[in-house]
Amino acid sequence: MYKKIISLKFILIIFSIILFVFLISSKNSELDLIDIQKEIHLSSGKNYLIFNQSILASDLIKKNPQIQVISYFDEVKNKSVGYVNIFGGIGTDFLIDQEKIYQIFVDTETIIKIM
Amino acid sequence: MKKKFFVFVVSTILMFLFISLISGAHYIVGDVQDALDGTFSNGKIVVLWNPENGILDNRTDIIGPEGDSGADNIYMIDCEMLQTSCMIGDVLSIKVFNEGDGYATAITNVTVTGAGYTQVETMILNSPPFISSITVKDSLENPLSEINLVAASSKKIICEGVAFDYDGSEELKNPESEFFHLENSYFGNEESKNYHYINESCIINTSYGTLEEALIKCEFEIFYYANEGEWNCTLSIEDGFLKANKSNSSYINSLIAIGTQGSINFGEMGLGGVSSEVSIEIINYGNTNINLSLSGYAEEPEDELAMKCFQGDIEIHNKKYNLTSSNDGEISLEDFNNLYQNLTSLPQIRKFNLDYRKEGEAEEDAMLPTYWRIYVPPEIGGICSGNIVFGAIRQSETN
Repeated sequence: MYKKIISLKFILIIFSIILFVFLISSKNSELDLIDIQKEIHLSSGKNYLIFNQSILASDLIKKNPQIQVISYFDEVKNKSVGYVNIFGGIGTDFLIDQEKIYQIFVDTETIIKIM
Repeated sequence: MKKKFFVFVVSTILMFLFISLISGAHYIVGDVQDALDGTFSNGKIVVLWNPENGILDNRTDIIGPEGDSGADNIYMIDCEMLQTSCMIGDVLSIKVFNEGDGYATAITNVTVTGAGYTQVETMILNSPPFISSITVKDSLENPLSEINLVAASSKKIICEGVAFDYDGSEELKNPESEFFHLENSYFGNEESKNYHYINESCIINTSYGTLEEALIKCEFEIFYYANEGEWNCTLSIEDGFLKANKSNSSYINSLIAIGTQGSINFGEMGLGGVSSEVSIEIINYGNTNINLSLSGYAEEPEDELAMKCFQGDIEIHNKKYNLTSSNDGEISLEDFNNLYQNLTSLPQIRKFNLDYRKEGEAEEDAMLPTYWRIYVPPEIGGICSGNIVFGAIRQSETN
Protein backbone atom coordinates (compact mmCIF):
# COMPACT_ATOMS: atom_id res chain seq x y z
CA MET A 1 0.00 0.00 0.00
CA TYR A 2 2.78 2.39 0.94
CA LYS A 3 4.61 1.58 -2.30
CA LYS A 4 1.51 2.34 -4.30
CA ILE A 5 1.18 5.77 -2.63
CA ILE A 6 4.88 6.45 -3.21
CA SER A 7 4.43 5.52 -6.86
CA LEU A 8 1.32 7.75 -7.22
CA LYS A 9 3.18 10.63 -5.55
CA PHE A 10 6.07 10.18 -7.95
CA ILE A 11 3.72 10.32 -10.95
CA LEU A 12 2.08 13.48 -9.59
CA ILE A 13 5.45 15.14 -9.04
CA ILE A 14 6.53 14.33 -12.59
CA PHE A 15 3.17 15.57 -13.92
CA SER A 16 3.44 18.82 -11.91
CA ILE A 17 6.97 19.45 -13.16
CA ILE A 18 5.88 18.87 -16.74
CA LEU A 19 2.87 21.15 -16.29
CA PHE A 20 4.99 23.80 -14.63
CA VAL A 21 7.65 23.70 -17.32
CA PHE A 22 4.99 23.81 -20.01
CA LEU A 23 3.29 26.87 -18.58
CA ILE A 24 6.51 28.71 -18.07
CA SER A 25 7.88 27.88 -21.46
CA SER A 26 4.62 28.83 -23.15
CA LYS A 27 4.99 32.34 -21.77
CA ASN A 28 8.58 32.49 -22.92
CA SER A 29 9.59 33.87 -19.61
CA GLU A 30 11.40 33.31 -16.44
CA LEU A 31 9.31 33.16 -13.28
CA ASP A 32 10.59 34.81 -10.12
CA LEU A 33 7.98 34.77 -7.42
CA ILE A 34 9.98 36.64 -4.90
CA ASP A 35 9.30 38.83 -1.95
CA ILE A 36 11.72 41.65 -2.21
CA GLN A 37 13.08 44.03 0.30
CA LYS A 38 15.45 46.57 -1.21
CA GLU A 39 17.28 44.99 -4.09
CA ILE A 40 16.54 42.22 -6.47
CA HIS A 41 18.52 40.49 -9.11
CA LEU A 42 16.65 40.24 -12.43
CA SER A 43 17.42 38.11 -15.42
CA SER A 44 17.33 39.39 -18.96
CA GLY A 45 13.77 39.25 -20.31
CA LYS A 46 10.57 38.81 -18.42
CA ASN A 47 10.62 38.54 -14.63
CA TYR A 48 7.56 37.89 -12.51
CA LEU A 49 7.60 39.46 -9.05
CA ILE A 50 5.49 40.04 -6.00
CA PHE A 51 6.40 43.20 -4.12
CA ASN A 52 6.12 43.56 -0.40
CA GLN A 53 5.78 47.32 -0.47
CA SER A 54 3.98 49.94 -2.52
CA ILE A 55 5.58 52.16 -5.09
CA LEU A 56 4.43 53.95 -8.22
CA ALA A 57 5.43 52.25 -11.45
CA SER A 58 6.93 55.53 -12.71
CA ASP A 59 8.98 55.90 -9.52
CA LEU A 60 10.28 52.36 -9.84
CA ILE A 61 11.37 53.07 -13.40
CA LYS A 62 12.94 56.39 -12.43
CA LYS A 63 15.01 54.57 -9.86
CA ASN A 64 15.76 51.77 -12.28
CA PRO A 65 15.86 53.09 -15.83
CA GLN A 66 17.08 49.71 -17.02
CA ILE A 67 13.48 48.50 -16.62
CA GLN A 68 11.76 48.60 -19.97
CA VAL A 69 8.26 47.61 -18.98
CA ILE A 70 6.38 46.87 -15.82
CA SER A 71 2.91 45.43 -16.13
CA TYR A 72 0.26 43.28 -14.56
CA PHE A 73 -2.89 41.62 -15.71
CA ASP A 74 -6.13 43.35 -14.68
CA GLU A 75 -8.70 40.60 -14.33
CA VAL A 76 -11.60 43.05 -14.18
CA LYS A 77 -10.67 44.75 -17.44
CA ASN A 78 -9.34 41.48 -18.82
CA LYS A 79 -6.28 43.22 -20.17
CA SER A 80 -2.75 43.95 -19.19
CA VAL A 81 -1.96 47.26 -17.55
CA GLY A 82 1.53 48.50 -18.19
CA TYR A 83 3.97 51.31 -17.85
CA VAL A 84 6.59 51.50 -20.59
CA ASN A 85 9.92 53.26 -20.28
CA ILE A 86 9.81 55.14 -23.58
CA PHE A 87 8.86 58.68 -24.57
CA GLY A 88 9.53 59.69 -20.95
CA GLY A 89 7.23 57.01 -19.64
CA ILE A 90 3.89 56.06 -21.11
CA GLY A 91 0.99 53.97 -19.99
CA THR A 92 -0.84 53.71 -16.72
CA ASP A 93 1.20 54.91 -13.79
CA PHE A 94 -0.23 52.40 -11.32
CA LEU A 95 0.61 51.81 -7.72
CA ILE A 96 2.48 48.58 -7.24
CA ASP A 97 1.01 46.72 -4.30
CA GLN A 98 1.33 43.37 -2.61
CA GLU A 99 -1.77 41.85 -4.18
CA LYS A 100 -0.59 41.20 -7.69
CA ILE A 101 2.09 39.55 -9.68
CA TYR A 102 4.03 42.02 -11.82
CA GLN A 103 5.97 41.42 -14.95
CA ILE A 104 9.15 43.42 -15.19
CA PHE A 105 11.12 43.34 -18.40
CA VAL A 106 14.79 44.21 -18.48
CA ASP A 107 16.96 43.76 -21.53
CA THR A 108 20.05 42.73 -19.59
CA GLU A 109 20.69 40.94 -16.36
CA THR A 110 20.52 43.59 -13.68
CA ILE A 111 19.86 44.48 -10.07
CA ILE A 112 17.01 46.84 -9.35
CA LYS A 113 16.49 48.91 -6.26
CA ILE A 114 13.19 49.62 -4.60
CA MET A 115 14.13 52.07 -1.88
CA MET B 1 1.20 9.86 5.01
CA LYS B 2 -2.27 10.58 3.67
CA LYS B 3 -2.05 14.11 5.09
CA LYS B 4 1.24 14.76 3.29
CA PHE B 5 -0.22 13.48 0.08
CA PHE B 6 -3.28 15.75 0.47
CA VAL B 7 -1.04 18.77 1.09
CA PHE B 8 0.97 17.93 -1.98
CA VAL B 9 -2.10 17.72 -4.23
CA VAL B 10 -3.57 20.99 -2.90
CA SER B 11 -0.22 22.72 -3.35
CA THR B 12 -0.02 21.53 -6.91
CA ILE B 13 -3.52 22.84 -7.69
CA LEU B 14 -2.79 26.19 -6.03
CA MET B 15 0.45 26.45 -7.95
CA PHE B 16 -1.45 25.85 -11.15
CA LEU B 17 -4.06 28.55 -10.32
CA PHE B 18 -1.36 30.95 -9.25
CA ILE B 19 0.58 30.55 -12.44
CA SER B 20 -2.54 30.98 -14.51
CA LEU B 21 -2.97 34.47 -13.06
CA ILE B 22 0.33 35.52 -14.53
CA SER B 23 -0.06 37.03 -17.95
CA GLY B 24 2.78 38.30 -20.06
CA ALA B 25 2.58 41.55 -21.99
CA HIS B 26 4.43 42.87 -24.97
CA TYR B 27 3.59 46.40 -25.93
CA ILE B 28 3.63 47.77 -29.44
CA VAL B 29 4.21 51.48 -28.97
CA GLY B 30 4.56 54.38 -31.32
CA ASP B 31 3.70 57.97 -32.02
CA VAL B 32 1.41 59.50 -34.59
CA GLN B 33 2.14 63.06 -35.60
CA ASP B 34 -0.73 65.48 -36.03
CA ALA B 35 -2.02 66.02 -39.55
CA LEU B 36 -0.37 68.83 -41.46
CA ASP B 37 -3.68 70.68 -41.59
CA GLY B 38 -3.48 70.92 -37.79
CA THR B 39 -5.86 68.12 -36.88
CA PHE B 40 -4.74 66.34 -33.71
CA SER B 41 -3.99 62.66 -33.74
CA ASN B 42 -5.17 62.43 -30.15
CA GLY B 43 -8.50 60.65 -30.00
CA LYS B 44 -7.97 58.72 -33.22
CA ILE B 45 -8.14 54.94 -33.10
CA VAL B 46 -5.14 52.74 -33.83
CA VAL B 47 -5.70 49.16 -34.96
CA LEU B 48 -3.14 46.38 -34.59
CA TRP B 49 -3.39 42.96 -36.18
CA ASN B 50 -1.34 40.11 -37.49
CA PRO B 51 -1.95 39.80 -41.26
CA GLU B 52 -1.35 36.08 -41.03
CA ASN B 53 -4.34 35.76 -38.72
CA GLY B 54 -6.55 38.33 -40.41
CA ILE B 55 -7.71 41.74 -39.31
CA LEU B 56 -10.65 40.32 -37.38
CA ASP B 57 -8.18 39.30 -34.67
CA ASN B 58 -7.20 42.83 -33.70
CA ARG B 59 -6.54 45.12 -30.76
CA THR B 60 -7.17 48.84 -30.69
CA ASP B 61 -6.06 51.82 -28.69
CA ILE B 62 -6.95 55.49 -28.65
CA ILE B 63 -4.06 57.79 -29.39
CA GLY B 64 -3.24 60.27 -26.65
CA PRO B 65 -4.36 60.83 -23.06
CA GLU B 66 -7.66 59.01 -23.55
CA GLY B 67 -5.86 55.82 -24.54
CA ASP B 68 -3.66 53.34 -22.75
CA SER B 69 -0.50 55.39 -23.30
CA GLY B 70 -1.89 58.41 -21.48
CA ALA B 71 0.45 60.59 -23.53
CA ASP B 72 -0.13 62.98 -26.38
CA ASN B 73 0.27 61.43 -29.85
CA ILE B 74 1.28 58.07 -28.37
CA TYR B 75 -0.43 54.69 -28.46
CA MET B 76 0.43 51.37 -26.83
CA ILE B 77 -1.14 48.02 -27.51
CA ASP B 78 -0.36 44.71 -25.84
CA CYS B 79 0.06 42.34 -28.76
CA GLU B 80 -0.08 39.35 -26.45
CA MET B 81 -3.74 40.19 -26.01
CA LEU B 82 -4.47 39.31 -29.61
CA GLN B 83 -6.55 36.16 -29.79
CA THR B 84 -3.48 34.56 -31.28
CA SER B 85 -0.82 36.01 -29.07
CA CYS B 86 2.15 37.63 -30.80
CA MET B 87 5.53 35.96 -30.81
CA ILE B 88 9.01 37.28 -31.35
CA GLY B 89 9.55 37.68 -35.09
CA ASP B 90 5.89 38.12 -35.96
CA VAL B 91 5.24 40.89 -38.46
CA LEU B 92 2.28 42.91 -37.26
CA SER B 93 0.38 45.59 -39.10
CA ILE B 94 -0.82 48.83 -37.60
CA LYS B 95 -2.71 51.83 -38.86
CA VAL B 96 -4.84 54.70 -37.72
CA PHE B 97 -8.39 53.67 -38.48
CA ASN B 98 -10.18 55.75 -41.09
CA GLU B 99 -13.45 56.83 -39.54
CA GLY B 100 -14.61 58.24 -42.85
CA ASP B 101 -13.09 61.67 -42.41
CA GLY B 102 -9.81 60.84 -44.15
CA TYR B 103 -7.74 61.42 -41.04
CA ALA B 104 -5.91 58.10 -41.06
CA THR B 105 -2.56 56.57 -41.88
CA ALA B 106 -1.28 53.98 -44.26
CA ILE B 107 -0.53 50.53 -42.88
CA THR B 108 2.83 50.24 -41.16
CA ASN B 109 4.40 46.87 -40.49
CA VAL B 110 6.54 46.13 -37.48
CA THR B 111 8.42 43.03 -36.37
CA VAL B 112 7.92 41.95 -32.78
CA THR B 113 11.24 42.13 -30.99
CA GLY B 114 12.53 40.26 -28.00
CA ALA B 115 12.71 43.50 -26.00
CA GLY B 116 10.17 44.63 -23.45
CA TYR B 117 8.29 46.53 -26.09
CA THR B 118 8.43 47.10 -29.82
CA GLN B 119 8.53 50.62 -31.17
CA VAL B 120 6.81 51.36 -34.45
CA GLU B 121 8.20 54.00 -36.75
CA THR B 122 6.52 57.37 -36.51
CA MET B 123 3.33 57.70 -38.46
CA ILE B 124 1.86 60.97 -39.73
CA LEU B 125 -1.87 61.52 -39.74
CA ASN B 126 -3.12 62.11 -43.25
CA SER B 127 -4.73 65.39 -44.17
CA PRO B 128 -7.71 64.83 -46.46
CA PRO B 129 -7.80 66.76 -49.73
CA PHE B 130 -10.34 69.38 -50.63
CA ILE B 131 -11.33 71.31 -53.71
CA SER B 132 -11.10 75.01 -53.13
CA SER B 133 -12.79 76.30 -56.26
CA ILE B 134 -14.66 75.06 -59.30
CA THR B 135 -15.86 76.68 -62.50
CA VAL B 136 -17.97 75.44 -65.38
CA LYS B 137 -17.44 77.14 -68.68
CA ASP B 138 -17.65 76.82 -72.42
CA SER B 139 -15.55 78.59 -75.01
CA LEU B 140 -17.44 81.84 -74.59
CA GLU B 141 -16.72 84.23 -71.74
CA ASN B 142 -20.22 85.66 -71.92
CA PRO B 143 -22.80 85.00 -70.79
CA LEU B 144 -21.22 83.70 -67.60
CA SER B 145 -22.62 80.43 -66.21
CA GLU B 146 -24.64 79.85 -69.35
CA ILE B 147 -23.96 77.33 -72.06
CA ASN B 148 -25.21 77.65 -75.61
CA LEU B 149 -25.22 74.35 -77.45
CA VAL B 150 -24.43 73.97 -81.15
CA ALA B 151 -27.13 72.67 -83.49
CA ALA B 152 -26.53 69.16 -84.85
CA SER B 153 -23.15 69.07 -83.17
CA SER B 154 -21.47 69.00 -79.77
CA LYS B 155 -19.88 71.61 -77.61
CA LYS B 156 -16.87 71.31 -75.35
CA ILE B 157 -17.60 72.15 -71.73
CA ILE B 158 -14.81 72.46 -69.20
CA CYS B 159 -15.31 71.78 -65.54
CA GLU B 160 -12.20 72.98 -63.78
CA GLY B 161 -11.20 73.12 -60.13
CA VAL B 162 -8.28 73.65 -57.82
CA ALA B 163 -7.58 70.80 -55.41
CA PHE B 164 -5.51 71.16 -52.26
CA ASP B 165 -3.74 68.58 -50.13
CA TYR B 166 -1.55 69.55 -47.18
CA ASP B 167 0.42 66.35 -47.72
CA GLY B 168 1.39 67.54 -51.19
CA SER B 169 -0.46 67.53 -54.49
CA GLU B 170 1.41 64.37 -55.55
CA GLU B 171 -0.92 62.48 -53.21
CA LEU B 172 -3.91 63.44 -55.33
CA LYS B 173 -5.24 60.86 -57.75
CA ASN B 174 -8.29 59.64 -59.65
CA PRO B 175 -9.78 62.98 -60.64
CA GLU B 176 -13.32 62.47 -61.87
CA SER B 177 -16.25 64.60 -62.76
CA GLU B 178 -19.93 64.26 -63.41
CA PHE B 179 -21.97 66.86 -65.26
CA PHE B 180 -25.68 66.31 -64.92
CA HIS B 181 -29.06 67.94 -65.21
CA LEU B 182 -30.21 68.87 -61.72
CA GLU B 183 -33.86 67.95 -62.20
CA ASN B 184 -33.49 64.91 -64.41
CA SER B 185 -30.49 63.26 -62.81
CA TYR B 186 -28.32 63.02 -59.74
CA PHE B 187 -24.72 62.39 -58.78
CA GLY B 188 -23.84 58.76 -59.41
CA ASN B 189 -26.50 58.21 -62.04
CA GLU B 190 -25.72 56.43 -65.31
CA GLU B 191 -24.57 58.28 -68.39
CA SER B 192 -27.03 59.83 -70.79
CA LYS B 193 -26.38 62.37 -73.52
CA ASN B 194 -29.62 64.03 -72.49
CA TYR B 195 -28.91 64.55 -68.82
CA HIS B 196 -25.74 62.96 -67.45
CA TYR B 197 -22.12 63.05 -68.60
CA ILE B 198 -19.21 61.35 -66.82
CA ASN B 199 -15.50 61.94 -67.27
CA GLU B 200 -13.35 59.42 -65.41
CA SER B 201 -10.09 60.51 -66.97
CA CYS B 202 -9.78 64.14 -66.07
CA ILE B 203 -6.39 65.78 -66.29
CA ILE B 204 -4.54 66.65 -63.11
CA ASN B 205 -1.81 69.23 -63.24
CA THR B 206 0.31 69.12 -60.10
CA SER B 207 2.61 71.83 -61.42
CA TYR B 208 -0.16 74.32 -60.88
CA GLY B 209 0.15 76.74 -57.94
CA THR B 210 1.89 75.72 -54.75
CA LEU B 211 3.25 72.27 -53.89
CA GLU B 212 -0.05 71.49 -52.22
CA GLU B 213 -2.24 72.57 -55.14
CA ALA B 214 -3.26 70.88 -58.35
CA LEU B 215 -5.48 71.93 -61.21
CA ILE B 216 -8.12 69.44 -62.24
CA LYS B 217 -9.52 69.82 -65.73
CA CYS B 218 -12.44 67.76 -66.95
CA GLU B 219 -13.79 68.14 -70.45
CA PHE B 220 -17.17 67.08 -71.72
CA GLU B 221 -18.55 66.98 -75.25
CA ILE B 222 -22.12 68.04 -74.70
CA PHE B 223 -24.44 67.09 -77.51
CA TYR B 224 -27.05 69.37 -79.04
CA TYR B 225 -29.89 67.40 -77.45
CA ALA B 226 -28.70 67.78 -73.83
CA ASN B 227 -31.68 68.91 -71.79
CA GLU B 228 -32.20 72.57 -71.21
CA GLY B 229 -32.00 73.71 -67.58
CA GLU B 230 -29.67 73.93 -64.62
CA TRP B 231 -26.77 71.52 -64.71
CA ASN B 232 -24.40 70.56 -61.94
CA CYS B 233 -20.73 69.79 -62.31
CA THR B 234 -19.27 67.79 -59.44
CA LEU B 235 -15.51 67.35 -59.34
CA SER B 236 -13.93 64.70 -57.16
CA ILE B 237 -10.40 63.82 -56.20
CA GLU B 238 -8.95 61.39 -53.70
CA ASP B 239 -5.76 60.83 -51.77
CA GLY B 240 -6.22 57.16 -50.91
CA PHE B 241 -8.14 57.90 -47.74
CA LEU B 242 -10.93 60.27 -48.71
CA LYS B 243 -12.70 61.35 -51.87
CA ALA B 244 -13.28 65.08 -51.79
CA ASN B 245 -15.71 66.77 -54.10
CA LYS B 246 -17.15 70.14 -54.90
CA SER B 247 -19.96 71.25 -57.16
CA ASN B 248 -20.96 74.24 -59.18
CA SER B 249 -23.84 74.81 -61.53
CA SER B 250 -24.37 76.24 -64.96
CA TYR B 251 -27.37 76.71 -67.21
CA ILE B 252 -27.79 75.08 -70.59
CA ASN B 253 -29.97 77.28 -72.72
CA SER B 254 -32.65 75.96 -75.01
CA LEU B 255 -31.58 75.21 -78.54
CA ILE B 256 -34.27 75.48 -81.20
CA ALA B 257 -32.93 74.13 -84.44
CA ILE B 258 -34.12 72.01 -87.34
CA GLY B 259 -32.65 70.63 -90.51
CA THR B 260 -34.10 69.14 -93.67
CA GLN B 261 -32.85 66.40 -95.89
CA GLY B 262 -32.75 67.26 -99.57
CA SER B 263 -35.05 69.54 -101.53
CA ILE B 264 -38.51 69.28 -103.00
CA ASN B 265 -38.65 68.36 -106.64
CA PHE B 266 -42.16 67.96 -108.00
CA GLY B 267 -40.76 66.71 -111.30
CA GLU B 268 -42.22 67.21 -114.75
CA MET B 269 -45.97 67.54 -114.81
CA GLY B 270 -48.84 68.39 -117.05
CA LEU B 271 -50.53 71.72 -116.99
CA GLY B 272 -53.71 72.11 -114.99
CA GLY B 273 -52.90 69.16 -112.76
CA VAL B 274 -51.91 68.36 -109.20
CA SER B 275 -48.41 67.05 -108.66
CA SER B 276 -47.63 63.76 -107.03
CA GLU B 277 -46.92 63.93 -103.31
CA VAL B 278 -43.38 64.77 -102.30
CA SER B 279 -42.18 64.39 -98.76
CA ILE B 280 -39.42 66.21 -96.98
CA GLU B 281 -38.12 65.24 -93.58
CA ILE B 282 -37.62 67.71 -90.78
CA ILE B 283 -34.98 66.80 -88.20
CA ASN B 284 -34.89 68.30 -84.74
CA TYR B 285 -31.34 69.51 -84.17
CA GLY B 286 -32.06 71.14 -80.84
CA ASN B 287 -33.02 70.25 -77.28
CA THR B 288 -36.70 71.19 -77.21
CA ASN B 289 -39.85 69.79 -78.74
CA ILE B 290 -40.88 71.93 -81.64
CA ASN B 291 -43.70 72.98 -83.91
CA LEU B 292 -43.23 74.46 -87.35
CA SER B 293 -43.74 77.81 -88.87
CA LEU B 294 -44.19 77.65 -92.63
CA SER B 295 -44.14 80.24 -95.36
CA GLY B 296 -43.08 80.46 -98.96
CA TYR B 297 -42.02 82.80 -101.75
CA ALA B 298 -40.80 82.64 -105.30
CA GLU B 299 -38.07 85.25 -105.49
CA GLU B 300 -38.55 87.59 -102.53
CA PRO B 301 -40.27 87.06 -99.20
CA GLU B 302 -43.94 87.92 -99.13
CA ASP B 303 -44.19 88.04 -102.91
CA GLU B 304 -47.37 85.94 -102.66
CA LEU B 305 -45.94 83.43 -105.10
CA ALA B 306 -45.14 79.78 -104.63
CA MET B 307 -42.99 79.56 -107.73
CA LYS B 308 -41.77 81.68 -110.56
CA CYS B 309 -41.79 79.87 -113.85
CA PHE B 310 -40.30 80.48 -117.26
CA GLN B 311 -43.84 81.24 -118.35
CA GLY B 312 -46.10 82.70 -115.63
CA ASP B 313 -46.11 82.36 -111.86
CA ILE B 314 -47.77 79.95 -109.47
CA GLU B 315 -49.60 81.70 -106.65
CA ILE B 316 -48.71 80.79 -103.12
CA HIS B 317 -52.01 79.10 -102.24
CA ASN B 318 -51.40 76.49 -104.99
CA LYS B 319 -48.61 74.94 -102.98
CA LYS B 320 -50.02 72.92 -100.13
CA TYR B 321 -48.83 70.66 -97.32
CA ASN B 322 -49.98 68.04 -94.90
CA LEU B 323 -47.95 67.70 -91.69
CA THR B 324 -49.61 64.61 -90.30
CA SER B 325 -50.45 62.07 -93.00
CA SER B 326 -49.47 61.00 -96.44
CA ASN B 327 -52.00 60.76 -99.27
CA ASP B 328 -50.11 58.92 -101.90
CA GLY B 329 -51.22 58.45 -105.51
CA GLU B 330 -53.13 60.63 -107.91
CA ILE B 331 -55.78 62.84 -106.36
CA SER B 332 -58.37 65.24 -107.66
CA LEU B 333 -58.16 68.99 -107.27
CA GLU B 334 -60.99 68.78 -104.76
CA ASP B 335 -59.11 66.26 -102.60
CA PHE B 336 -56.01 68.37 -102.98
CA ASN B 337 -57.86 71.33 -101.54
CA ASN B 338 -59.43 69.27 -98.76
CA LEU B 339 -56.47 67.19 -97.62
CA TYR B 340 -53.71 69.80 -97.76
CA GLN B 341 -53.25 73.19 -96.17
CA ASN B 342 -52.29 76.26 -98.15
CA LEU B 343 -48.79 77.58 -97.93
CA THR B 344 -48.78 81.29 -97.11
CA SER B 345 -46.44 84.16 -97.71
CA LEU B 346 -46.49 85.11 -94.05
CA PRO B 347 -45.30 82.47 -91.62
CA GLN B 348 -48.01 80.32 -90.14
CA ILE B 349 -47.32 78.32 -87.00
CA ARG B 350 -48.45 74.73 -87.28
CA LYS B 351 -48.59 71.99 -84.70
CA PHE B 352 -45.88 69.45 -85.53
CA ASN B 353 -44.93 67.83 -82.17
CA LEU B 354 -41.41 66.96 -83.16
CA ASP B 355 -39.54 65.59 -80.15
CA TYR B 356 -35.87 66.19 -79.71
CA ARG B 357 -33.39 63.34 -79.86
CA LYS B 358 -33.19 61.02 -76.90
CA GLU B 359 -30.37 58.88 -75.49
CA GLY B 360 -29.80 55.79 -77.60
CA GLU B 361 -31.68 57.14 -80.58
CA ALA B 362 -30.22 57.89 -83.98
CA GLU B 363 -30.36 61.35 -85.46
CA GLU B 364 -33.15 60.17 -87.74
CA ASP B 365 -35.30 59.21 -84.78
CA ALA B 366 -35.90 62.89 -84.09
CA MET B 367 -37.33 63.35 -87.56
CA LEU B 368 -40.83 63.68 -89.03
CA PRO B 369 -41.96 63.93 -92.66
CA THR B 370 -43.97 66.70 -94.23
CA TYR B 371 -46.00 66.05 -97.40
CA TRP B 372 -46.29 68.50 -100.29
CA ARG B 373 -48.18 68.92 -103.53
CA ILE B 374 -48.54 71.74 -105.99
CA TYR B 375 -51.23 72.65 -108.44
CA VAL B 376 -49.97 74.02 -111.75
CA PRO B 377 -52.51 76.25 -113.50
CA PRO B 378 -52.94 75.75 -117.30
CA GLU B 379 -51.25 79.01 -118.28
CA ILE B 380 -47.91 78.08 -116.67
CA GLY B 381 -44.95 76.76 -118.63
CA GLY B 382 -41.25 76.06 -118.37
CA ILE B 383 -39.02 75.43 -115.37
CA CYS B 384 -40.33 76.71 -112.06
CA SER B 385 -38.55 77.45 -108.84
CA GLY B 386 -39.60 78.70 -105.44
CA ASN B 387 -38.80 78.59 -101.75
CA ILE B 388 -40.35 77.10 -98.66
CA VAL B 389 -39.26 78.56 -95.35
CA PHE B 390 -39.29 76.08 -92.48
CA GLY B 391 -39.09 77.66 -89.06
CA ALA B 392 -38.97 75.97 -85.64
CA ILE B 393 -41.04 77.17 -82.74
CA ARG B 394 -40.66 75.89 -79.24
CA GLN B 395 -43.63 73.63 -78.64
CA SER B 396 -44.48 74.95 -75.16
CA GLU B 397 -44.87 78.43 -76.66
CA THR B 398 -47.41 77.31 -79.21
CA ASN B 399 -49.35 74.49 -77.52
